[in-house]
Amino acid sequence: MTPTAPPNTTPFLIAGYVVLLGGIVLYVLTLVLRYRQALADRRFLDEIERPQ
Amino acid sequence: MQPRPTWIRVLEIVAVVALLGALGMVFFYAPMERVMGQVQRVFYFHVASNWIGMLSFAIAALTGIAYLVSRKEKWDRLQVAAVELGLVFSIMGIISGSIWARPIWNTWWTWDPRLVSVTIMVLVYFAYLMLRQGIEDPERRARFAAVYAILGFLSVPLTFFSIRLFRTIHPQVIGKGGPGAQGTFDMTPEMVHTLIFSVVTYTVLYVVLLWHRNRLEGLRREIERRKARLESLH
Repeated sequence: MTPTAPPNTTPFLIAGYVVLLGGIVLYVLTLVLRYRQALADRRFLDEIERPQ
Repeated sequence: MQPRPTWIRVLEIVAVVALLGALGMVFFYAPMERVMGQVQRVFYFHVASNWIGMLSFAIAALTGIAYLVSRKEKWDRLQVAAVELGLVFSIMGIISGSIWARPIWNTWWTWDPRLVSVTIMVLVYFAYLMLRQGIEDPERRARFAAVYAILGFLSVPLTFFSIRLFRTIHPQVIGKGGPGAQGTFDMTPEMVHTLIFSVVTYTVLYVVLLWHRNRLEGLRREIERRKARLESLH
């Protein structure tokens, strides 16, 4: 009996790692954007609260 | 605002290096599984991702207990960060599992006990984030969230043990799968090393992300407080 070759499932492997790594990258990106937005808001509040 | 301490800077570097190392092990060290082919390599990060999801929800429950005992806002802040990260990693686990299932189970999705329980778990924590938004008073919101995070944690052991308690086609990582399990394979020592390294890598990465998300939450709350104070003056 000859051993059968494994099926070609490489496209699914690539798709899986795109999700797993892309998800982390996207989350880090949202963290950076939210952080920048929060810092901008804080600078704006500093301006408003500064005594005239 | 909390400055970045040295240990978190070190962990950031460790997380990036370890992630590259884990990818190297997944693709060049672990052997290809003979029946499933290349797609089996999704296994390492799929398991690590789900592990972090469950760990994060456990941390959310613990911070809930800590808040109810101490009434300190820092626990509520950490809880929001833990729930958000738990959701991100659980969703990545579900999607990667679905991609792995397609060539092995011949379907993207099936209403199997594990898949149902993990979906319920994710919905429970989505509801946590939505319900929080509906409560104005910060103290009431934190109290409600703490109780919810503790009760919501019941969905985590239900998900973890679903493949042991019910008849399922989902394979088990630890121990032999049930009689109907499809996609079960015997792990070689290289596969075990790769899995352990991936799980440790994800855990380090998680600590870094949790610290940053917690800091962001602190900054947002400071802004909210200042805005409220300004509004009360006008």
